[in-house]
Amino acid sequence: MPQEAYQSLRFLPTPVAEREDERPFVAVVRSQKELCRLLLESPRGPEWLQVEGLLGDPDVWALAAHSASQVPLDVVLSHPATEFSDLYRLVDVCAVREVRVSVPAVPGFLKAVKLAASLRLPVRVLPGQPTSEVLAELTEALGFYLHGAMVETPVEFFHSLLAAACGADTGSLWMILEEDPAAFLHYDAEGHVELPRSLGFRLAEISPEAFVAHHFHNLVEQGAECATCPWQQACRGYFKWPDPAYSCAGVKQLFSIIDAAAGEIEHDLASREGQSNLTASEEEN
Amino acid sequence: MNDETSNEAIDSDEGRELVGRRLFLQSMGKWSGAAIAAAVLGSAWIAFPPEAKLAPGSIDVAVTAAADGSTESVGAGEDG
Repeated sequence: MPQEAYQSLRFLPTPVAEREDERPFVAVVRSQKELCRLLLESPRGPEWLQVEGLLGDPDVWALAAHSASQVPLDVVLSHPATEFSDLYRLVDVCAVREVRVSVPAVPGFLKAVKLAASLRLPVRVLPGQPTSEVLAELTEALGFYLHGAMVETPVEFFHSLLAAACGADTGSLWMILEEDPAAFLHYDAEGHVELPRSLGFRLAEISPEAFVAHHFHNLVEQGAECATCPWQQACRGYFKWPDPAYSCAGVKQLFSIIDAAAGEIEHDLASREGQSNLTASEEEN
Repeated sequence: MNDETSNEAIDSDEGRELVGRRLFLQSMGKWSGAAIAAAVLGSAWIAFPPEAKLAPGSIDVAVTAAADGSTESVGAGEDG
């Protein structure tokens, strides 16, 4: 493994993960056998297991609900529109370990977000470069996150963007979505670093730490809309990857809604403070 | 754990203020509990990874938020 990777959290296919040293890693699990080995036999615990494409296998979740290991699971849905009802299988698993649901933003993904939230599972929506159809669904999902009376668990990336709009230091979307190679390095089966959302595209001359800054700098230099975008700090060109020609008109609407919500919350809190002060001065008089 | 950390938070002035702000926003019925947690706590509520122990200089955001029990508890624990 390259030396520069040593400070990052590494995402490793299970066969690679099983040969790992003491450095922190996340094991990517794609079969029941791999999950079984990691839950029952792994001498060193990964930070968590990223379980992909196994939601439909009930035996996997029976195992996860009854194994002594408490390693957390990040359950990545492949086809959220059709497999969302299988999320009920995670109910027993939550009793013994942390579970998060990661949902790619593809048509129909909102059904999975709503069910996961109703099961009180943290959700991570992976937006990629959303189509106009998906953008409409993302807008609905954002409304659900902001105003749904029963939503108590975070729905990322909305959650951290709202926190950022309220003044928190959450880092950019690359960090929020665990795609910044400076902090999260994804490896293929041969042990090579892969760039996020780029299917085998590897880091070549740029160090992982410099990738996001380099990407953003290139976009600005090439006259992309990022140069004047009010949300450039939160985004850092996230939505211009891998296709730098992607139009951000739709995603800017999402940022606007989040920004407006942060402003409204701030206003609500200021009104409350004003009322409190008024009551206090009336009591004094 | 949630109750313990909530009590710890309430014991300080800052904690009482946070709880007060959260309850006020909840009373409006306009925001979800998760959105209130993000806005009021002033930091991301990243439930994952709960026990990540990464090398210094790596993902500060995730590690500090996850290690901060109060961040997790105030949003999640009191209404459910």
